[in-house]
Amino acid sequence: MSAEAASSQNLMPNTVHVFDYLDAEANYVPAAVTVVFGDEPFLKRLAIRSLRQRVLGDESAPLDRFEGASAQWRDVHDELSTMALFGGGRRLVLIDDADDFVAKAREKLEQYAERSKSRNVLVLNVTAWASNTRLYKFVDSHGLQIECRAPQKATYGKTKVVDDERMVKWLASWSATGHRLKLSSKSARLMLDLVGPEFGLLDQELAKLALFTQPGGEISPDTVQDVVGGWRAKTVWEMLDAACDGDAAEAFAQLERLLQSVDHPVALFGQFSWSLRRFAAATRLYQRAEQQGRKPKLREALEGAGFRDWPKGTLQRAERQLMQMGRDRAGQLYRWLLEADLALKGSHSSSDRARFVLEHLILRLAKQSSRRVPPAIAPGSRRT
Amino acid sequence: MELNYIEQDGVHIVAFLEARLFDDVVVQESRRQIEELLAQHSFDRLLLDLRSVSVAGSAALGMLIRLKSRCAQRHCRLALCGLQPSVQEAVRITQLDKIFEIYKDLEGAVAALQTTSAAGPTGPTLLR
Repeated sequence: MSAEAASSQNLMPNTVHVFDYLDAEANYVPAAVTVVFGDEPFLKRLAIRSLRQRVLGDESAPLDRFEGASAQWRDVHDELSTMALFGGGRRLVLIDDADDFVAKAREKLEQYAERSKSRNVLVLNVTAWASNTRLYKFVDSHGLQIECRAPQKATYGKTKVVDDERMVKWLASWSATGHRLKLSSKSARLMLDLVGPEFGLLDQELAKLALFTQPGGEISPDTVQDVVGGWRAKTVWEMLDAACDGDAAEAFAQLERLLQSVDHPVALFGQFSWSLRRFAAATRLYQRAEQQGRKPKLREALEGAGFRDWPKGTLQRAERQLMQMGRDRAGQLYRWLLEADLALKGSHSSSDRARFVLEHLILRLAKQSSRRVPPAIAPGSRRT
Repeated sequence: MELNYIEQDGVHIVAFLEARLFDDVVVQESRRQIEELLAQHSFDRLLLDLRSVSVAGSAALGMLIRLKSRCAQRHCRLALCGLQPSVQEAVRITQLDKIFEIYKDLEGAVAALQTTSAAGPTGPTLLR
């Protein structure tokens, strides 16, 4: 990873974003303790596949796998202490969902990481990986840890948002290597707009696009618009329209339709929040311009937040939706999204409860009383 | 994951017996089993019988896409039959109806696959 990339991700040399790791695998050596961390299962699969290839010589070679909730350190250690009969004698021991395992066996893991001279590799697949722990610091300086989440960049001070440019580059590159498709930046950007930064869904849509063309064929923005989850994006827009317009019943009907297409409501939250975060960012840009004494233009704020006028009319529609939403609600979007995100990862992670979180968010957007208030964010207007 | 595999007059038929194709692990397992069948036999016509399936989530639709791609690599014609309304709707809104041969019932599908060439009709056929 380049120093610049490391710096942009706030990562040390042995802590690397999965994009950088996959771009230059040879620069990173799988260590006795290797950690794959973050909340993107698809990116984790790519990282683990690569580790498997490099340690065992074949990405489908058998590995020793434990479930984090039930794994015992002594069993894991036994596996790590023996040589494999095949594959050059090295073992790769993978602990899935290892957060609980790490919490239970932290001390043993620290000792193992510091003392092990084994050529075998222990891979911890965790969601959370706190940088202030002894284990993190040790692996950071002597092991390898691969961050598997959407790349981020700083915008307002410490606020971070998804780095669209890196996502677009990755999408174009992955479409070529993973699906033998040519995807221009414009097509990749449109795809990202339609699907959101959901790597599993993006990969599935690329697989679908590959069936519409010959291997190596180029995918035009029109084809992307026609084929890629357009229905889903359309429905999300319609749901937002209805919610912003105070029509909760219609928004719920659209939500119901969307829920038919996913395994778990949390899969919808990505795209839902992708759209709303950009509204939240546009609101901040607008307010910042006001604070600086400038007369802001709503359309510029939306463009600054990542909205594009593709397909034509998108900006106009976004402008209308933000005006419908009004300053008060738009100003609270970040907080609402954070609350929803935390609930989905914690108390409301089951399917039924996750659905409630989405419905609650819709209700907040659709709050009837706000309909009667003139759109306070309309250009030229001021909050009273 | 329960799958039923039979051969009928040169058409290889895999029937899904689960009503809900939702769970990622279940779907991956059925995909693995079908890919194993494809690897073991040199099918040129494969029919997926979905009559028992009442709900198909995105993982199931993803499986269909992967199988279509795998069959294309092996020059095997892949068709679907017996889609219940909710599955039909999911296939339609995800535009998969543009890339799959889809038949209303098993008998019609077998007859069509028998009488037309292994290369298939000139384009996707929707709910014949």
